[in-house]
Amino acid sequence: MVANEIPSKEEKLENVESLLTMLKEKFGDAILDSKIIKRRLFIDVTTESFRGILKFLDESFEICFLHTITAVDTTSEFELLYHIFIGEKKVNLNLRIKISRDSPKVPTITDIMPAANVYEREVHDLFGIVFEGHPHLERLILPEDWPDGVYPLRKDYKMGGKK
Amino acid sequence: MTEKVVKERYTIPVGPQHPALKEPIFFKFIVDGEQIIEAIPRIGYVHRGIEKLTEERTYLKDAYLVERVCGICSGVHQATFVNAVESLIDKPTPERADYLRVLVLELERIHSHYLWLGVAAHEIGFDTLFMYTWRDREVVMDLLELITGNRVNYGMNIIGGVRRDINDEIIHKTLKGIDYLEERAKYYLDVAADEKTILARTVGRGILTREQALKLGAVGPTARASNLAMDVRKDDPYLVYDEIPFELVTADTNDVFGRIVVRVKELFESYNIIRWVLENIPSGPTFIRTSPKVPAGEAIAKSEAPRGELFYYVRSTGTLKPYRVKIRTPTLANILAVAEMLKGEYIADIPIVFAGIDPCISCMDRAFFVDVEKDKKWVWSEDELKLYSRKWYKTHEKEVIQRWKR
Repeated sequence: MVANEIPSKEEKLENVESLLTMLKEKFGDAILDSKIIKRRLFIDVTTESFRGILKFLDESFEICFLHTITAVDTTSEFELLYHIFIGEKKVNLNLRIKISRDSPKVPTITDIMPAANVYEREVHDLFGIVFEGHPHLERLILPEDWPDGVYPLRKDYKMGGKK
Repeated sequence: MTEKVVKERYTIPVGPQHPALKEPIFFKFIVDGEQIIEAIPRIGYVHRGIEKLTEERTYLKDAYLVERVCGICSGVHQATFVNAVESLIDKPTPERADYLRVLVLELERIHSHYLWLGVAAHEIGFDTLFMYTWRDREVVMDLLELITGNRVNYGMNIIGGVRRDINDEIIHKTLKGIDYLEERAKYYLDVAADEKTILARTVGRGILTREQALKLGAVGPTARASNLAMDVRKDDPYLVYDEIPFELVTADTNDVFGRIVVRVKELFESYNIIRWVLENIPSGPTFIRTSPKVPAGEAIAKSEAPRGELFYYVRSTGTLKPYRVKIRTPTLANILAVAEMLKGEYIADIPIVFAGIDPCISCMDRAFFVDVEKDKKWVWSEDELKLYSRKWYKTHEKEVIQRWKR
């Protein structure tokens, strides 16, 4: 059984800060920006390093739970947010990477966290982001007869199918 | 006789239509005789593009839209979305509103668990229990109607608080209803622990070890039945859950039986939470006025829905409409886990193992059997599949009892 005492707000903030210092010490330059919004930690990292950070987190903590992967179309680029929960520290951590909108490609994390399988397929379906090395990056949500190359959650897709 | 035993591998597509439960899903099963080698899910048959729709509507309308994501746990969707938006606004909601939200969320959990208990009983052919639980579920549905005005899609939350208040009469009726439901839940706990039909069909079925649950990202009662103590109410308390005393229920049997026990025991915790809320609810206003424009920023809200962790990510650019809303429902998180559970099970166990995660989707309507070698096809309806599963268990009774004793 994992201890289930609810940490106080101060303890929680302490946990968040200690995790941030730990990551900064370990990865330094890879962390571009970080902010704490309401006990949630948002870290901007480089595309080259995010796999390494996830691997490090997965190996360091027993409960390193992937909530989901969110993609956001900022019209100039794509943002990918990897929402992680660290069970031991009870901290929510969000890794943000930015990828080019012209050739949206990013390495998969299914080898580190198998739970990412469906989440990556979902993002691939709705945003057209290719996860390189994913075991079967097939259609998950959109219908079989959905036209290729049309990604409904991109901002240039207007409701009603108008481009 | 020199007959060679040729093991044939069949591919069985199951789904996607299902008239009995909400939401269809498709599974491709690769089987060896009666045993499932692999289960490959395909979802999206009821994808309505709600995430896109939210970007086109105002926050106020979205609060009602996200409630339509799920017909059973509608209240928790709205509460989580509203939580995320409120943390962007950064104006604390009145305490009374938080208490009332907890009240509705816990009543919803009770209604959902009763519904699930009935469905699970039905899947194993124990229809008496199904009738009992669904009759009792009416009590909690009436309470929800009394408090929110609706039986489903409560529309209780608005940005800044809740829409309706409760009075002494409602408190009295709720407590009376809770007392009755607690008596019934005690009976169900006895039934689950002693009834042979349930034990024979659920003990040792749909195994998901703690390691697998961790690896595949299982949530909610599915994870807790694999002895993984994860519950958003404890891990990252929202509303007033950090003040409420309650136990986290886990089981270490890793099977469908454990999932039944966890859910029934959770009912007792919900009763106590409701009693505590009604006792300690502070007086005061139930909502505050907020600007329809939401300040720019991003927020995350998590809740423990009846099926597990529900996750919302909201980004605002300071307008009337959200820039992006991301929803991760518990069933999606459990899909990989159920595919793992089904490996090595018998075809006859598909319904109960799949029901074990309390899916918001079900696929047992139509099994399309294809014999690859002989190119023969036939179609089974959901009822025929259930009939088959019951018949199979009757003829294999000794084997089952043996297996169970082990």
